[in-house]
Amino acid sequence: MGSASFEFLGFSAAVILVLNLAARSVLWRQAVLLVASIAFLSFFSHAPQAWLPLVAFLACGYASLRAMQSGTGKAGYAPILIGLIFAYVWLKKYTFLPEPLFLSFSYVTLGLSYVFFRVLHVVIDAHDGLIAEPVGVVSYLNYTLNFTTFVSGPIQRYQDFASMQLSPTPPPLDVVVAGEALERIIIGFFKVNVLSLLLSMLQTRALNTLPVDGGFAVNLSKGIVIAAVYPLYLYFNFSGYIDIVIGVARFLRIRLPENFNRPFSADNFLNFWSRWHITLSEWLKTYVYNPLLMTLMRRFPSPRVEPFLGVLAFFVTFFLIGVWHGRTSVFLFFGVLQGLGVSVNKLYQVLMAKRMGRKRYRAWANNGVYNSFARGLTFTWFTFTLLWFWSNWQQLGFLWNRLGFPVIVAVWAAIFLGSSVVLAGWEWLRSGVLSLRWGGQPVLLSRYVRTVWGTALAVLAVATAMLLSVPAPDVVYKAF
Amino acid sequence: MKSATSLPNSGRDLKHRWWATLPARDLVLLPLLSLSTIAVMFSFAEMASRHFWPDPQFDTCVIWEGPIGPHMQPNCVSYERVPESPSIRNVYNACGYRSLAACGPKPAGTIRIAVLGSSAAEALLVPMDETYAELAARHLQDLCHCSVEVQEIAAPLSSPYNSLERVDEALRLQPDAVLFMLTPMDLEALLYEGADAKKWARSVKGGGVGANTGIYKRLQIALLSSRTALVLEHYFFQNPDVYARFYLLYGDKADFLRQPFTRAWEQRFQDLDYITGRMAARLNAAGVPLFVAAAPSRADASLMASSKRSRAIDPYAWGDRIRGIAAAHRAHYVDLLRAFGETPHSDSFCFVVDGHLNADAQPLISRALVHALLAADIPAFSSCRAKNRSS
Repeated sequence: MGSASFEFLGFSAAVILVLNLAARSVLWRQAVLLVASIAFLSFFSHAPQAWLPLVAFLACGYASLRAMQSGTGKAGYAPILIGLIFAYVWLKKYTFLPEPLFLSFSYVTLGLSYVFFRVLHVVIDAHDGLIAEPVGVVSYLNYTLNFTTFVSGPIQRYQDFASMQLSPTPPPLDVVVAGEALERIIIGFFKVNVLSLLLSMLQTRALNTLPVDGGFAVNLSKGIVIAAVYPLYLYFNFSGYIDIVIGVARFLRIRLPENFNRPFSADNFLNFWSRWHITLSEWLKTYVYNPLLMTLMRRFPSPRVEPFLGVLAFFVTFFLIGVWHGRTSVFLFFGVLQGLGVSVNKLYQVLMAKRMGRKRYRAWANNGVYNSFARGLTFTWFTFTLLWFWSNWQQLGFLWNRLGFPVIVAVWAAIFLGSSVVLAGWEWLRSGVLSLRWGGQPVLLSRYVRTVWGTALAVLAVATAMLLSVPAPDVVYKAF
Repeated sequence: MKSATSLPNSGRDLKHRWWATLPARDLVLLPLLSLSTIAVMFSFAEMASRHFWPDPQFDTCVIWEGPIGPHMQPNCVSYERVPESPSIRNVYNACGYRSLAACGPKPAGTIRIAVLGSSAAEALLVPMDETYAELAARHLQDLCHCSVEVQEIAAPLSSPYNSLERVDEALRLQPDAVLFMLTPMDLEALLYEGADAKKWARSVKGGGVGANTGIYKRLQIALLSSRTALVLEHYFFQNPDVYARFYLLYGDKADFLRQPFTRAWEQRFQDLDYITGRMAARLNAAGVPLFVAAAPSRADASLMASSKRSRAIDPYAWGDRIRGIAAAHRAHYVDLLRAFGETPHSDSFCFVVDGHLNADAQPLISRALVHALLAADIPAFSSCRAKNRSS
């Protein structure tokens, strides 16, 4: 069952109805969410054996959590963390481990990455005393297996989850909240089922019709479509899924954290990662970047090297983000490019601030023209790194051979210039449209306009799903 | 006044009345806005659909009244189209048959086949030179080295009873064989006789809006008969699984696909047995062999193509029952269902919404018909049989 399918919406609607029959009862909400999550998982495999690794991983996680909370496991903190990380790497079959080490039977790894982040988070926070209340088995299972976030996040903190799920006064659900949640679901459904589907078709078509000897103009246009359409597709696919689950969860009296904040408006790569897959970036910032930086600063306690330690910590953190996405050398390279992107960006900021002075540098960075090109460069770099996300070495070789060096250079130059202009135009249009106000509020954000807009998107999404008559596209991040 | 974009206060408890966060007028206004949006979008979609999908053209040569049911005016030419099809030119000969050959006395050395049935038998919406009848005639002509012609007595919405009424007319053509082609819809019509039959035919033709039709029903019919709905259905039902799943939501109409047959369908098979028996008796007495064919509907073809068929669903069962009826009356059976079942993607041989067999289906029917004609021990085809074997 895809998370952007009619089946998922039907399933969610049934769970929402049942849960809200007695939403004031914590016990009822806990029971309904657990049963719904188990029912949701059963769609992926009916074979008990296929679930054994996940069950074992969850059990280890829970035992570790309880050991940290009771204080009995504090001495074994580091081995426990290493053990959990190894278990994850082993179950995900990372290719640097020897093949005979892996389990020989087929098992479900869907959602394992996100379960891993949640488990590691509760164990670390319990060790640091940040989770005061003892975590019960049902709360733990609901937190790790919650069907709205199981497949691809967002990664919520346990404390935030528990503050709503275990509270006798959960977030209220009135007509405005319901309307906004429904609007989120519709927008998400439209993004995944219409925009991402059409963009994916566009990119696939360009890839499949790349001529052997197409000439400069044809190859340039195809190259631009192949490279530049993918980030848009990925954004609509993943953020659409997030919109859907945030909307569904809100009906279940849970507020999920946002995972996207207009990432293509970012004017540098560091800023981009604070707007794209936000909960993953935050997780890594909390549990990798901060501890690593603190360790490095303790090891090299010099104010002169401190900014450069930040550069190094950024590289390591975002290299790990890349590596997390996949098990092969392509993703290793993807990680290197992410790490390079943020660390070079940070280094540039440090050096420019040193050279120009913080005030002048800030003023310069806020210049409109500079800003537009910086936005274009950010988009172009992200688009470039994604080549190692959606393809493999063989496909990259194919593209290199078909397009040739001059066309490839022209493609990236065109993407840089084009995205600078288009994104600047988009920002200008957006701020212009939002400046149209009535009664002190932007007209486009009034509930009347949003009702019309939401209805139109719903009609278009349903009609497109019916017209194209193809299954709902899978969420790309489901694979990670 | 509360602002239009304000978010709810997270501190409120559950005792709060869920609707009170919106001004009362908005509880009416917002749903109305939503409905108006749908109406405006639908209007635009309808205009666009009507622009790109042309209006249907109805056959102006059809005479609906009379004891023999629907039939065609002699020497008449008409154009016919559904939005899914091109415009088809129909030419009816001096007897009112949709046939390229004249219907006068059979010329010496000519093999003549008469066809009884309804729209599928007539190959409705298929260009006349591409119909299974014309293809079969040409194929037989090549095999038999003599003139072969097919006279289409069949007419759209003819019930099997109407076909029975026209057996004598068929015999006057001195045919060498008579083909009686049936579809599930023809059998469905069997429960309706006299005034009911006309009512049924009207409902199939035009949606059945009468003076006593209620507002809800009228609205439903208007929506379903809109061009937008047709365009949506056309794309939605491209997938055979989707089409089959929806079709099976019908009750009696789809019960010919379910096993065991319902009482209503058993009754229909009994009626068909009676009709086939009377037809075969008259034809056998005149020494003319009768061939009975069961042509698939799109639901049949979709289920044949579908891998998700339950055991209670059998798209071949009604054909097998007709095979038994034919055998009981010494008629020959033309197994079109299995011919379709053995052909990949045979669901695409039908107009998606209209459901009639399209031009792509005609070669398949033609081959099955020629095969059945040659396999039967009929003197008129003996020379063709020998040549077919040697070739």
